[in-house]
Amino acid sequence: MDIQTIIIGIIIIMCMCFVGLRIYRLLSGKGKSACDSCAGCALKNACEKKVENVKK
Amino acid sequence: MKLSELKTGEKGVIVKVLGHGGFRRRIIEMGFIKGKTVEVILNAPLKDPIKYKIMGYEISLRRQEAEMIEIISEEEARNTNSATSLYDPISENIPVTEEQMKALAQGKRRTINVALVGNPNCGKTSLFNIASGAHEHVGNYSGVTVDAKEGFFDFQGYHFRLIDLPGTYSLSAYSPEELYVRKHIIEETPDVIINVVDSGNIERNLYLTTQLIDMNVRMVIALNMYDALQNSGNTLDIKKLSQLLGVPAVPTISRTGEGIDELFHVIIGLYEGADFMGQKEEIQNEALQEYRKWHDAYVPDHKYGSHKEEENDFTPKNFIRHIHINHGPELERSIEAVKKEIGKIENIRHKYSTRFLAIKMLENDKDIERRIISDMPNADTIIDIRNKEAERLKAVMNEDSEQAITDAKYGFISGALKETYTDNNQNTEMFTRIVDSIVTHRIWGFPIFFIFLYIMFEGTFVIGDYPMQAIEWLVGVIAQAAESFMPAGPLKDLVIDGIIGGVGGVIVFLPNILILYMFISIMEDSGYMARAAFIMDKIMHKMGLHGKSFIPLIMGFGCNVPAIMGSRIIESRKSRLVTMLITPLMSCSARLPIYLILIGAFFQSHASLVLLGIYSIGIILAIIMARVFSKFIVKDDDTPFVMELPPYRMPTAKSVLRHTWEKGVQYLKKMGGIIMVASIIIWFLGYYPNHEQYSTQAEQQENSYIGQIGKAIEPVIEPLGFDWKMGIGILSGVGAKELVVSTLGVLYAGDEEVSSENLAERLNITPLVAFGYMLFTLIYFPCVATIVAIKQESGSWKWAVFTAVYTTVLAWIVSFLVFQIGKLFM
Repeated sequence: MDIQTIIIGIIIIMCMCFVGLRIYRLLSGKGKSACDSCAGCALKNACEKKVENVKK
Repeated sequence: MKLSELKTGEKGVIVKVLGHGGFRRRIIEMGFIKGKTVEVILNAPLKDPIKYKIMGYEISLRRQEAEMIEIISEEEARNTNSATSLYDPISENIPVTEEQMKALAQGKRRTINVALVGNPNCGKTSLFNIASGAHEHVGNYSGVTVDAKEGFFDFQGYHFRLIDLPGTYSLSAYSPEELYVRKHIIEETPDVIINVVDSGNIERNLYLTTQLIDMNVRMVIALNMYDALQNSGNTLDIKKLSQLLGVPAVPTISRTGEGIDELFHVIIGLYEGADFMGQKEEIQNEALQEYRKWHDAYVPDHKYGSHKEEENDFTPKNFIRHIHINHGPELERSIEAVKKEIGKIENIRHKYSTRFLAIKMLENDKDIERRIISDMPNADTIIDIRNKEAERLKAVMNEDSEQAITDAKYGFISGALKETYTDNNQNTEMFTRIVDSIVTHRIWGFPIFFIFLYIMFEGTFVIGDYPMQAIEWLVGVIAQAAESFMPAGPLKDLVIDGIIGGVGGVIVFLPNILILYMFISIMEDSGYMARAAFIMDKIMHKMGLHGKSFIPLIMGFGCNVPAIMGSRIIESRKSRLVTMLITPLMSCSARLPIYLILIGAFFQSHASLVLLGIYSIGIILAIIMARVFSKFIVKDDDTPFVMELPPYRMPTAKSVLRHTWEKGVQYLKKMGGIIMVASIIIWFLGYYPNHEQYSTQAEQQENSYIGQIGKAIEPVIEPLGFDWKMGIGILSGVGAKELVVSTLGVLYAGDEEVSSENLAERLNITPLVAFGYMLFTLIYFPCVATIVAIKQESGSWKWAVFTAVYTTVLAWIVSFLVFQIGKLFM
């Protein structure tokens, strides 16, 4: 196995971890709030409020 | 006496609960209902809180809260009883039965304190005189420099104490009258307020009404001098107006006494019923029975229910409900920030609506600041937040917060009147009215809306083309550099075909998305979007969908996730659900690159029209599905609401650029994150296994992991005219819609320079298939984030899964029909 294949292997494992973590965070509601997906949106405030309510 | 005055071990029967609507509702929900016996169990060492026993439960109340509950105590009952007969021996130990106490409490409850509030010269005093009639006892109550008249009269078994407050245009702290009226409402807590409105000058008069709504008081509107309105040829849909404001409105003519009986009928109904609404806003049976019994006993000339207003009072919901006047996203954000800080102090909540205080603070109301806020322990923080928010508003809206609130309130009134009031004598039209009469015209409104959309898309294509070419060139240069400097091998292929092919294929659309956002921002800030929502509202109503739904739906053009969260503005759960279910059909900005790439390749001569068509199909499908869902799956009555029509305003460059900039940053973050990662994974799956063993790249891809997956799903998508690579694009789009283009970029990457145009050329499909593919990506499974948002908002996976399934099935059916029928003609 050459060095390039090993590097690609590491990159792929990191990518899979990234995707897995994203899915886990999304489904469990942990980590960054969903409001991050609407940074420029006028409803961001309402969205943040909702998240606060959920946290309470 | 007040509940707080009872000593430990003493009992009393509740007569009524005073205070603003929010407080009353909370106290009543705790069980402190009229006619119920309450006993003091324990006074805490500092006499606060106090523990009570009511309906078998033990509940603690703060002393200040208990002060807002009027009761009749055993001692009072005993005194009242003993005073009734001169011959009975007076004894402290005469037992008073609970039934006797309840009867006395019921009698005491029949005194209703009513305050008349209205603009100067709206006929308040005439109404006061005609109502109190020959029985009046007029006294003078002096305020600082103003007077209020008091009158008493009996009507249908109730004793009315009528207070005629001085005329005022608003409840701000500018004049002594305004201060006096406000103080009276807060300190004296009248049971019901009659908001007298001059029907001939309804728009200006309703401004005061909106402030009373903010205060959350129990209120009825007397549309006074109604004959003047009728004679002028103008018309007003009173029922609709009542529904929109959540306040019953009764037409009256003080001069002749017309409508006065009806007005006081409504007041009795409101007083007896408003606090006892169930969850579906129907009156609770117990309260209704009691009211009916009383009515039948004291009003012998007709049975309960034989009057029109009695039917109206109780049967239809929506007449009596507390609404929040929507001041627009920026102001609401500020109100919420100030309200949150004020709400931290529990002690004031029983007396004031925190929302009202927050609005007043933003209006720079010095009286509220001095009398209420400055006494609070967190006064400095509240004032700090207010100042910061005021500065923010000034920067964003280009006007001070006070003016912005006034504008928003007039926007609300304008929206309410647009739906209910027909002015047949418009001779003094202002700019807003002239423009509104055109853009919200029942026939021309729609073409104008679509022309605006067309201009938006044309701008997205034409203006976006230049920076797009520049980015394409840059991507090409980077790819060339990688080609020249990197040694051959899988790592080089990963960088060129995977990362540059994937991310580069999507990033070129950044300018287009920014331009789209800029147009949306301009349409929102100028006030046109509210008009667009207004004209669509009527269609929404016809389709069985809540009118409010169009606001989150419009948000859906940007991103479906906040749109679904935005559906929380809809009170009715079922209407909310329908809105959530159809939101994914609104084409979000992530889908734009797919359209741009396919339209650019196959429909260049009619690019904007085709794009407009795609968006329109999304809207039409959303409307149709809303009809289907509200008819067969989730049924609900429509709750009316006011679609605000704010005055037109020149959008500020700062606000537009801020929205656009934030979107740009977010897009770039996505490029560096999930898009890049997904592109690498797709490349890996398309590169392995056994990359070197095949002679052509096509053969290699077909035998790769992704090729095998693609071949497995091919039978499902073949009837739609899609090949397996397009199928993989669809599969990856489940994560995020941008991934469709990046995936196609990776899968169709050849040896030539990677750019979108080349990708479009490499797509070996017909325009018909391209159109079907665009429709499929428009309709099918929104994206994981949207599905999770639906789950969070609906509270269950059931609706999230349902959305995923129905959108995908619908997408398949639509694309199938387009392809199969289209084939017959092409």
